[in-house]
Amino acid sequence: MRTNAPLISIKQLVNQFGSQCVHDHLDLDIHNHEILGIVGGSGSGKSVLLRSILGLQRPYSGEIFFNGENLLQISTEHFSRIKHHWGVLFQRGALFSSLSVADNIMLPMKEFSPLSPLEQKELMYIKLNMVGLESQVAGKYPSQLSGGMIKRVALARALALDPILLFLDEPTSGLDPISAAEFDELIVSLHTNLDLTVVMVTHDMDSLFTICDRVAVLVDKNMVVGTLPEIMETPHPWIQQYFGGVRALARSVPHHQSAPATPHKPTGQTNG
Amino acid sequence: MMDLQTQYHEASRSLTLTLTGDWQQSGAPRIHALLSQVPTQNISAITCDATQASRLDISAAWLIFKHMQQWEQAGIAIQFSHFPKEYFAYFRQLPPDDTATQPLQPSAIWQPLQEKVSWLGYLLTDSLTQLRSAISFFGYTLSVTGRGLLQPRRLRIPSIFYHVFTTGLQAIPIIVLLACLISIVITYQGGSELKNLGASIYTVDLVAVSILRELGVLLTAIMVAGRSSSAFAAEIGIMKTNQEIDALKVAGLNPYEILVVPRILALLIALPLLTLLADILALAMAALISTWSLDISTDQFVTRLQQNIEVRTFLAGIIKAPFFATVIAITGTWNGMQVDGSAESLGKHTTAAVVQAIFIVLFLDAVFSIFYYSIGF
Ligand SMILES: Nc1ncnc2c1ncn2[C@@H]1O[C@H](COP(=O)(O)OP(=O)(O)O)[C@@H](O)[C@H]1O
Ligand SMILES: [Mg+2]
Repeated sequence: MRTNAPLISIKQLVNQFGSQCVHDHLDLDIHNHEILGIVGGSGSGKSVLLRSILGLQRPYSGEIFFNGENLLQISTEHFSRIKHHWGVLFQRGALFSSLSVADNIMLPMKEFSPLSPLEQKELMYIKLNMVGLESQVAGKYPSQLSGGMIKRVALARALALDPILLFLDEPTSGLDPISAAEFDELIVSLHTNLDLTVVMVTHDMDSLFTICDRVAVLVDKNMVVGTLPEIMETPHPWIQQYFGGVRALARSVPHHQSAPATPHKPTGQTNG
Repeated sequence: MMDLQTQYHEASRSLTLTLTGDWQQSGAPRIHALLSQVPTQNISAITCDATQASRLDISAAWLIFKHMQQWEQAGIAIQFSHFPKEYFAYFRQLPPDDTATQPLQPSAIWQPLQEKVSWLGYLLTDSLTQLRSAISFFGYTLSVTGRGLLQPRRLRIPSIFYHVFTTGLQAIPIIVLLACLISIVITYQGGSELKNLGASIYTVDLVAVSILRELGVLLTAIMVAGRSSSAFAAEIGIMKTNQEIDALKVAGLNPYEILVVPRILALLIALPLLTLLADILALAMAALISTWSLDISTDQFVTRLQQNIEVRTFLAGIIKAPFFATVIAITGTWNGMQVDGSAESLGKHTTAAVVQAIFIVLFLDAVFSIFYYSIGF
């Protein structure tokens, strides 16, 4: 297992829409077996970055390597074979509206896995359990689900093929705080048990503090990457403002932790 | 590569299965193969140990879990060692034999029959509900339109013009083509027959009456139904799916006033004009063909037209245009409003919009024919 070489390496990425430049020679390394949090203001290009990695959008220039292979140069078939091992949760869920929840989750398995139909169905229920949904949901259609349920079903679908690399675009936005915390636990559990690498765009301070190994901040069309303490020491004004409110809270956490009943998580809240 | 090491403990008659390598979903056939080879005769206990597996994903764990359960049912004590304990929580919450409890029920004679009858009943009530909804939609839309016409401030003039542009102006090329082609067909077919009878000049009457009374307006309406009814349904359907309609309602705006009325008014303007255009072009084309192939000079053609064709022939056709326009706009917008959020229902209602629009247009045309006949128009 390559531990030193990055799993994904983005070099000098430039993305442009007309005259609007979204990424200006951006560099980012994603390491094996880490949980990387991506933060940035609305419209700073987080989703565009994910779309570039996923091959949904051709960058203006730059290179994206996965395990040493340049994704922008390999054949489409090879790229799609690589993507069988990737799971993606889109910002708006992107469930197939004409398929039931069960069929949505089973679709990737039907297409690409050697499992028998019965096993697919059982695993579909297991995935539903994993994302914290009742089994009755299986028969519903996406238009009958709440926003948070759509997120969870979309995650279940992303997990259908037991991926090694998971991309999450704002997974906990739209979830209540308890579900969001459960979601974080789920990600950590998958991460430890499956040797999973997770790339998550998030604004959830809890997620950033408790589960992310490193944080990448998209500011000024480029990346500032580091562990959370390193990032919080960065003098950039946007970063200071973003984490400013939380720093105070974070400092006060040790006081709380002396009380036995308090969970280990700092209770930092984002106030957008 | 995944593999399984089996260790037999003589004293306790137990087996230890040690998983090595990557155990993952894509290797499901191999998982089944490996586990079904495990010798279980005279074994009293099996321990499955995942310590040495470099990866064990949920699917693989589930397949192993199921095999172990089978052994347990055969009276063997089972034990999992170093399996991620979260996995078991997910496994235990499975709905109890959901997959097993769905065998086909023994079918009596009654049941299929009963199903058919109830299906028929469902179909009937469903179409009645649909019809009711369409009629009330029609009535409500008319009242909103009427209110708009009384208080022109409420009309969305830019929106009306936009739709006149897309449904009318942009349809001109295809209507031109349509008019010319249909004129060619009638003039040549009718002209050659009449020429054999030595009555070439009657071609003018034939063309003028059939185009002005019937074909001009009907074919234009069918073309517009195909273009615009589907477009209306798709536009409004997508807005419904995106909850844009709800957003309008919450903002205190009337979606009918904003989305439906401008489309109806636009078609009420566009369709008669397109019909007029089709009529004129078809007649012009007929005059040209007559000169070229039927030895009827343009002068003769025009004189004959003036003498034999009355204004009411033209009116009989063009009067139908506003009715057809209303039908097309209503079926399109109503179907759009019926979309329930799935891509499938969008497709279904877009198709239905066109089919219904064309059907009702033809039906109305038949009604007009009978009506004209009975009043001698
Ligand atoms: N397809 C597109 N065409 C034009 N501009 C786009 C497109 N997609 C995204 N953008 C622009 O790129 C910027 C970054 O968008 P996005 O990555 O979605 O932001 P966020 O960081 O909130 O996810 C925004 O200014 C957005 O308007
Ligand atoms: Mg985004």
